[in-house]
Amino acid sequence: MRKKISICLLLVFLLSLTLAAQAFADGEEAAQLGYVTDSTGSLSSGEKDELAQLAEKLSQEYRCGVYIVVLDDYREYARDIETCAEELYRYFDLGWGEDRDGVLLIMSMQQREYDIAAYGDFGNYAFTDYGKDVLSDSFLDDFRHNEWYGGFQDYLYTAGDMLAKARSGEPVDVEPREPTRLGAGAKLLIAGAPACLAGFGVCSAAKSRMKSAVRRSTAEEYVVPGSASLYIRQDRFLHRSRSVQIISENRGSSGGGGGTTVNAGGFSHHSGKF
Amino acid sequence: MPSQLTNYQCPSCMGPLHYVGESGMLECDYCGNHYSVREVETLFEQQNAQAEQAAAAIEAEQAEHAGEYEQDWDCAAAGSSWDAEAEGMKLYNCPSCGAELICDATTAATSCPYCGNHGILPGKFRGLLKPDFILPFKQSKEDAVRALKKYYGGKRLLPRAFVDGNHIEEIKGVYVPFWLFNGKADVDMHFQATRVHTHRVGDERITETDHFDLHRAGSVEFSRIPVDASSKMPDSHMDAIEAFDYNDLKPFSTAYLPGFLADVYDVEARDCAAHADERARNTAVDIVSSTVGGYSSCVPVSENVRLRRGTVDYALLPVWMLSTRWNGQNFLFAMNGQTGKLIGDLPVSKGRYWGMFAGVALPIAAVLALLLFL
Repeated sequence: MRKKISICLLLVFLLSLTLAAQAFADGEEAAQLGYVTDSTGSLSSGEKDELAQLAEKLSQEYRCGVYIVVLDDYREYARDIETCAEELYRYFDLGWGEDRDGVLLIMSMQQREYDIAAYGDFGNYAFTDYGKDVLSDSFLDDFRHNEWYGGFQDYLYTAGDMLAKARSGEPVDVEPREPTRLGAGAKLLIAGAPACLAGFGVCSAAKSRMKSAVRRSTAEEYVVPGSASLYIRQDRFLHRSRSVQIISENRGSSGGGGGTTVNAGGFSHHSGKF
Repeated sequence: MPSQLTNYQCPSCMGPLHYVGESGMLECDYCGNHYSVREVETLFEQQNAQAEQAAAAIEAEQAEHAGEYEQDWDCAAAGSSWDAEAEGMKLYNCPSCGAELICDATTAATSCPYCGNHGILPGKFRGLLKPDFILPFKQSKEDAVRALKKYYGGKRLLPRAFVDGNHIEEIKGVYVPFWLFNGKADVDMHFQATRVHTHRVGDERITETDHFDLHRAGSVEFSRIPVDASSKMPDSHMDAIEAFDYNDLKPFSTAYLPGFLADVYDVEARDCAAHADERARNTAVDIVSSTVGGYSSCVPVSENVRLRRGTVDYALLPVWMLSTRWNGQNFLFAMNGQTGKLIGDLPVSKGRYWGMFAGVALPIAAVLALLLFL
């Protein structure tokens, strides 16, 4: 697996060689991989440059790398797109600072799948589960219409807004829920309803034991032993029907509560289809 | 994926076979067994021949018994004349519920076992049929009293006054008249069945459903399906105390009567035959349906049951009975005099019902309220 990923990454690396060289020249903390890498030709050279400049600007301003990688088929290199994103992030040592803070949008065109992977303390702080949900909503509409450049622009602008808010101490996240205050009547109702149900359940069970006279509609005890015979037993195959269900996008990483769900590798993800 | 689907089925598991070009064999999608085309063709030729033979045999048998189908029950031999044995018998009438009870000359009937009426009157013993069989009592009165006391035990909703005023000792041994129906049922059923299997390829979940037509035909023979022949006895009570073991069934003799009452039938066999028909049909369908297995779903689409109604016997079967009144309502308890199985509906005390409700609901409500208010 590792070998396969390495082959993939080598290819990606070669394709993004020019941007990488520029990034190396800009500073020590810049990533070795370009901010925008497109191995499918979905973006023109000019579009790629514009997006890369914007991504670099955001990354430097907020000290958190913002990346875009477009692949043809992630399955050639990893079993799932999340693993592919993590391997890529680690292999090229993406991110800023000691924590390697950053966010990476990776897209696989054949499967039309994407993954947003955040890493590092600040990266995971800035891109909460809910935040990544909002971030994906910003570009999915464009991607579904194959508007790649517009979608990446929306991704970068929205990521920039989120980074700004996170730097000011208020990352985009779900509103904390106020604990619901119940009135005395509601409390009595909540206490009384299950109690009544339990009471009726026990009483009904006891009452059912008071009736035992039941009319019967079968007579299995009176079948003559050995008399049951089967003279036709035919199972005929008719046809086969087939249905295909597309497995819906994985929203497992965006739970109902606030905050960010980080895996053992230090990454948080939001993936799906476009 | 199979490249070609046929109606051939795997001889091992009935799964569909498909032809694999590389091996030139027919392979089963389910169990993986493979067969040569010649093998499968030979096998299916044999199966078709056997099916045709079976169908021909069935047609021949049905033609032979054509006259028997959907005929009425043969009641001609049910019961016989009492003749000289009637001399030693007494008959009582209950003016309250209309029950007619017979007993031998040494037994005195003091109250009606059905309604508890103490004013039963002697009548004339004539025009009655003598039963063909009798199933003697195996359970004693002491057994019945013990069983009834045990039956009352643990019923927390039972009014205490009901038990106290119950006069359990007045329980009576009664031979209840039954018609016993003998016959056969031929069943022909078709089912639509499916086998579903799901697998995942990439981001697609693929569900493949194989559809089958199942055909089952068979026959079941019944011996002595009992239906009580007394209008005073609720069918539900007599159905519920079944089953009776007919190995102990004896040709009728008045020697089994002393100490017991015997009810006289007042429902003709033809009038209660519908219940026997229903029980025979349902059981035959259940037995044939139970031969279908190994499918994800199975729905019967056609069901043809033909009854070959046979002879009917008249028998007396042993029942311990207690009839008691409570709050203007009659409660009847019956115990199978052979097996000891006791049934009967009991009254529910409203006070005890709500007491039990409060005993359960209040502590739960109190604990929940405490948790919510603290």
